[in-house]
Amino acid sequence: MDSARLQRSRQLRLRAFLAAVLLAGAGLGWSLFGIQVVRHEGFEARAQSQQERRIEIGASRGTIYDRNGVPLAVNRERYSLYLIPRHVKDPGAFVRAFTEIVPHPPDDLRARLGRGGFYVPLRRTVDRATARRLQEARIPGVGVETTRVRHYPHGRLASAVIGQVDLDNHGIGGLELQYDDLLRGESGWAVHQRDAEGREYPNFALPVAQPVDGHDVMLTLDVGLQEIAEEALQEAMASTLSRTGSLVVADPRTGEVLAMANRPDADPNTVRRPARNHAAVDVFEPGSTFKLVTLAGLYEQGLARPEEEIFCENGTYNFSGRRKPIRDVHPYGLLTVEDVIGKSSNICTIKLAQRLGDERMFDYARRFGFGVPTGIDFPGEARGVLRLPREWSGLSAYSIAMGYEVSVTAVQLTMMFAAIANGGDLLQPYLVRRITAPEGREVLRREGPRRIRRVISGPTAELVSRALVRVVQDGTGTSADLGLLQVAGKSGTAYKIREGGKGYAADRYTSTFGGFFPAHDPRLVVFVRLDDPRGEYYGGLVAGPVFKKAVETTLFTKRVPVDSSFLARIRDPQRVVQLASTASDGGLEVAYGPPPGRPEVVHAPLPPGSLRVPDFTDMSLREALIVASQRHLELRFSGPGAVLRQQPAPGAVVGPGTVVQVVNAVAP
Amino acid sequence: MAISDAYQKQLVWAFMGIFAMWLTMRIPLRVLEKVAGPVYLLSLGFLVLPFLFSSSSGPDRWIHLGGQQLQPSEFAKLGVILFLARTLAVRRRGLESFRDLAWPCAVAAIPCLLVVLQPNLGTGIVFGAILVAMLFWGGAPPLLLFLLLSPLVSLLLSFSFALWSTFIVGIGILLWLAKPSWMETIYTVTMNVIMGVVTLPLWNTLEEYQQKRLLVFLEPEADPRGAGWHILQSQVAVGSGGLLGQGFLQGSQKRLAFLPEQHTDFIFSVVGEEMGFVGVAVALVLFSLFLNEGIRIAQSSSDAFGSTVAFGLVALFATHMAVNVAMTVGMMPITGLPLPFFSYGGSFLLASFIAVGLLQRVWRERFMRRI
Repeated sequence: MDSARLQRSRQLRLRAFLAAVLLAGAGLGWSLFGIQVVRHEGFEARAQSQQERRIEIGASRGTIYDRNGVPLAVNRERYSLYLIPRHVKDPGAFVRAFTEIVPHPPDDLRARLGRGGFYVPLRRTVDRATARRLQEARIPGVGVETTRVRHYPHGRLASAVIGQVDLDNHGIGGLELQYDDLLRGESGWAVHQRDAEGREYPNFALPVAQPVDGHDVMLTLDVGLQEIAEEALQEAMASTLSRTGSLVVADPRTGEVLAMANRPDADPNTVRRPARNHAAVDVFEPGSTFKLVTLAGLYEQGLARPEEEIFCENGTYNFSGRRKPIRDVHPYGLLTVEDVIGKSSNICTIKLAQRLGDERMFDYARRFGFGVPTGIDFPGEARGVLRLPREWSGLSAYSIAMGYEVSVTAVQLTMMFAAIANGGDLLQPYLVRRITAPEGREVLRREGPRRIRRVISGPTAELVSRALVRVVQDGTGTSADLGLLQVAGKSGTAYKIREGGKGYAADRYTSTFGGFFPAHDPRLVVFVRLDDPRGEYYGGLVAGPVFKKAVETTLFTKRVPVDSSFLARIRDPQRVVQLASTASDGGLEVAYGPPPGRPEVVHAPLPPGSLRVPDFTDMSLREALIVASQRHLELRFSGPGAVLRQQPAPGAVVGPGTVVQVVNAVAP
Repeated sequence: MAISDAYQKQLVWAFMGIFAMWLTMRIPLRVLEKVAGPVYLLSLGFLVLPFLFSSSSGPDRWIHLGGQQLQPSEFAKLGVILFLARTLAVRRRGLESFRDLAWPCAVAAIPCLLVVLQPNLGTGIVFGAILVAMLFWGGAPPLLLFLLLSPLVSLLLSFSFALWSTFIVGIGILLWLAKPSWMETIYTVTMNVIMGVVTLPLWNTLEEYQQKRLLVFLEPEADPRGAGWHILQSQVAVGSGGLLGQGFLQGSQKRLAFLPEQHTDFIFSVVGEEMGFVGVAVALVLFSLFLNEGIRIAQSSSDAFGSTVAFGLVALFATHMAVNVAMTVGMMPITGLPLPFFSYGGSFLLASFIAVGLLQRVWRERFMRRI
């Protein structure tokens, strides 16, 4: 090829090559445009999703307090360890450094490291100090995870009411479930940057939402009363071998539930299944306690007078429509209406119920709240069964009159007694009196009564109360007699329906006792139910003493808001004072002053700036510390537990800041 | 190696490169032509050296020289260009037949084979590209080059029998019309048939992961954490750059080490992420201007040797640029070719500067016509 031709051909080849270069450049440019401009958002999202990780910052679950601020459900931090094998460069050095802080079998560590990856769980729980040391040591390859776990400082106390949370801190029972939305709070989140190796870096430039802690919930329960209730119930369970038992204490003036004990129960700190709140979710046929509905209806309708005499057929009563005769436990001849209730005669109750008729029987049962939920703030409350009169047989009214063919809950019966105690108002029971947002704002405040309806008039309630006083004085409920205070109550013993079959079991009973005290102007209503007790089974004999024990202990531990006008009505003030002085924390006198008519104890005037040493004996350590700090005394103690002795002695006159040495029941 | 360390090293290499460029500029073409042969042989020697001292893990790409590592293949490219240019310049006959092409092909094929055996397929492609470009510039008829390269087309088309047979028929018609010599005809027919028949069975003998590795650029999502990782992360980096980029040193794909080989093979992805499409477009324009300059030098030179050298160098740069960028955006399989003046790597930077020095020398002597 001569050079002229080559030159010419090169012109062409140059253009061809240039064109190829430009074409390639344009192709690449086009492709880049597609990736960077057209598909930019998709790639950016993808980059973000792989480079960032949303870290949830858990909110602190709200605390549950009793009515006086004693914590019942709190949060604790738990530390767990995990390995990040990918970040371990030298397993030997890692094992050495790690085991120096946490004793752990090296072979196990190596085996776990061998699994590779970014997350190999190592230990579920380590103590706080170890976790701290590990965090400070900053050994690459080990991570400390902090989680909050629910803790119930009082263990099984009221556990069926308080409920429980699951592993994710979500309520799964009881009030933890009922108020879960408020207790839970809102978890926040942070965005961490993550590199290709999975290492994470907190990035403060990226948005972070602070967690909002849960609301605190204050219950109407009183830990002191709850303890008393549980103890009384526990004793009864042990002596009667009942299958289940519940005890409800409420304020008849407000509907506040002050204690709600259930057996069997479980420690929510160790057993992850909420105990059953039998009082609110179990239904049963009440038996004779239900006769109050009949009585109230009769009085209210003017169909019976307290002194009116009824013939009780000497214990055996045949009436049309019933194959077998009705029998009373004890045969009676003539009884006043009041005694019909006092002796709990079934025959006379039926005869009286005939006066009331189906419609009115139903009406009063419904007005007392049976067959409908009480509206207590507890999840899964049972409504019981009260059929409509048109579904009744000819005998239903009589069965219902004495507490059969109707099923109820302990809470419903408690509120029935409360209605009689407070002069005729059916109240809505409640367990929570206050809910406070984390910033301190109250989002709920319940005080005083929440009246559902007026069931009976005041005079009628008064008459029913009188009958109930008779029950305790000389009827089936004498076992509940306190001796000092007039209490009103009614026992009940009901055959249980045969399990899975028809009819009633011959030897299975529900034993109940409900009542209130003092009989006039009552402050507490208490209801006890024992399911299927062995041996003795009459409600009066089995449940009555539980009632008595609960009320008595309550009274002498100053848990009832009593005042001197209340004490004035006590039948035997001397005895009360005597009992009170032996009671655990000084009794009634100290707190509320002596009853009228008794001279106040006058102490000699103290020199200025000095004070008397209080009596710490029998105080819990906590109480003692509080009292000491109020009096500006310094308390030295030997250990936890109640105070046994003290030095200086009670009443000694000392100066502020004096050291009081106490000996406690539990050695350190 | 820490990145800050790499940056200092690269700076040292750049100064050495500029010095080498300055030195190269002062070497007359006459001398270059004379030493082309020895340089070529020397670079062949360096390519063979690793095979003689291969460790258990196979031959090394690098030669260790007083603490520094040199990649002989980068200099071999220059050696091949110089020697090919000399070969093409000294011949008085044209490049009209396969017989004329045989010797130049052999010159490129020997080092090409050696680097492919390393194995360094990417550099092998560069040798091929240089050869074809220089033959083209040397005046080889396009038809001849097409016939030479047609087996490669067969290789790619062999996966579809319909496409391949169509291609074969096309080749047949072309041969019948153009009537090349018997040697070209036999070569074309045999090679195309062999490629078409043998490729598929050979392909099937490959392990699945090997097949995957070769094809993953077509569908990186098929194995996003394995074979598709590089290409996918590169695309994510480039794509998240957007129009204006995340800002210099701000690329998060780069910072969080999602982008592999970020200072060497995938440095263009960093440009894409941090400078955006605007930055990338500017880079592409600069590349084009650079290549255009090289072409102008090749065209303006009246010296056959100089012009061919210049054109070979342009082909070298163009191949590196195109293949690297195409790899970045997922248009080509990953071959590991560095981007000139961007990628980290001393040998290649040094070689690139020497190449620029050569271009400048050619420009300087553009009016001289040696006899």
